[in-house]
Amino acid sequence: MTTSIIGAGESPYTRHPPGDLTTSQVLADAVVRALSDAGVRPTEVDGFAVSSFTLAPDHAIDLAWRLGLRLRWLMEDTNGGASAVAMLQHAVRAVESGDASTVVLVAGDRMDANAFRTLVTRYNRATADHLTPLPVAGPNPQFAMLTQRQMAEFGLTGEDYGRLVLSQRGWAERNPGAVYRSPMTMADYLHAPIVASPLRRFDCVPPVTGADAVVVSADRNGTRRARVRAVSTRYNVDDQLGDGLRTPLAELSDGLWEASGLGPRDVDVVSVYDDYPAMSIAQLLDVGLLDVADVPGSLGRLLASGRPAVNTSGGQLSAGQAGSAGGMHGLVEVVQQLRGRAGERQIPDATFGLVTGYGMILYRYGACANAVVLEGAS
Amino acid sequence: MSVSIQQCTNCRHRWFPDRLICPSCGTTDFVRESAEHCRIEQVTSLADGSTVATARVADEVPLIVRLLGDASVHDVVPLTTRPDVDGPAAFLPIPSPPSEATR
Repeated sequence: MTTSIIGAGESPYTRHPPGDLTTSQVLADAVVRALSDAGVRPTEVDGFAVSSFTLAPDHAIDLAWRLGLRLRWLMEDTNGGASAVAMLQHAVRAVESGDASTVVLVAGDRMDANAFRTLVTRYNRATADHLTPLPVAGPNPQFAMLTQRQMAEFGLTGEDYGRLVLSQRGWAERNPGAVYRSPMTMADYLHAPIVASPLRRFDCVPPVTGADAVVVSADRNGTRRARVRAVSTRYNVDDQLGDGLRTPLAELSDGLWEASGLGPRDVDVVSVYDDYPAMSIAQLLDVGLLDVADVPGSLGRLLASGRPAVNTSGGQLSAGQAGSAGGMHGLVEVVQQLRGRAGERQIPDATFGLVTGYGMILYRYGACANAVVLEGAS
Repeated sequence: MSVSIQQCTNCRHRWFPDRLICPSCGTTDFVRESAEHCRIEQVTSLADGSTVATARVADEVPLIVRLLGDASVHDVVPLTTRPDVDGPAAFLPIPSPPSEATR
């Protein structure tokens, strides 16, 4: 059985949410938009999954109850930037096995200053015990040092990272949903304040409030949809003992492409999880879109050619990081590209897409990664 | 100055932060070992002027530390659980009492 994503929606991202806006309301807004996009009524939904850092004290069943969903399949995923593809993997298997027929996946958060501070200082036990007391508030130092390692390993410069950031900002200029859309120059990028050397302001995602959702079902002829050709995940592949320059995607990439029947150069549009430019580069390398012998050159050629187009929403670096929705944001963008609904930033004749997820910084870098290959169909 | 690091009694592999099962050999028996020094691998300067580093104990156990005093990449510096000592040293926070009972 082929499983498809038949609808997608995003609750508008904002840096400054109204005081009375709750995480549940933001998630519900994304669900309603995705169902409307799919032409599916809430009564048709029999599977539901959610990922959110700030939904507590509620859980998936509380949200399902308040959304009026009567379900045969329910899950809650706590893996942040890797949650979207992880939930999708489970949903695909649920539809294939007959445990559910129409599944809604949603991720997002009300991520104001207090929520962000609480999240990053109590991210896990290792953070609370060994990082927050340093003191550091968030993973910028770890990814600054990972970026140093990557620069040394592959000969990357600040301008190389800047090219990626500027490319994404160029896409964001065409995305009305991005929180940062003003044109940016290389000088703007290079002269921005240092956050944690060598990371500058525009290397770091802006936290926003928002949510993203998709509707998954058995393949429906006559519906503009994104078929799932292959999906794969890996968790904790090295016990945090490595250098973090290769993500778990390196382990799953060959099998993913083989299962999809495609290769990395067959895809038209890619969303890689861009919590930092270094991690975008790491993931592009892991999935075979960059040449390990010439990472700076192959990155420049990839961005210049636009084939495949990378992070066409502007990515989290320009569109914003809505807490746990980071991975779902990339999934929604590629689904809309493959369904021909990406507005001014539409890639002509986009047929195949790749979405990666990455996340959960246990101590030094992320421990979860996954990817899905999608095919547009109508 | 020193810090306490978890060591597997079976394979002798050292771990930080503490694990519940040894990822190397799968046993659950650990002891505490004193680690006195670490080698600095990377250093990042934060906007508030502080300096955070990646370091390793015996070129094996990776740590995230704050540098106290002057220290550079490749330097071997003392490890401490106190943030107020004179440097050069590497501050590694370890709650006391521990937030989770481990051996």
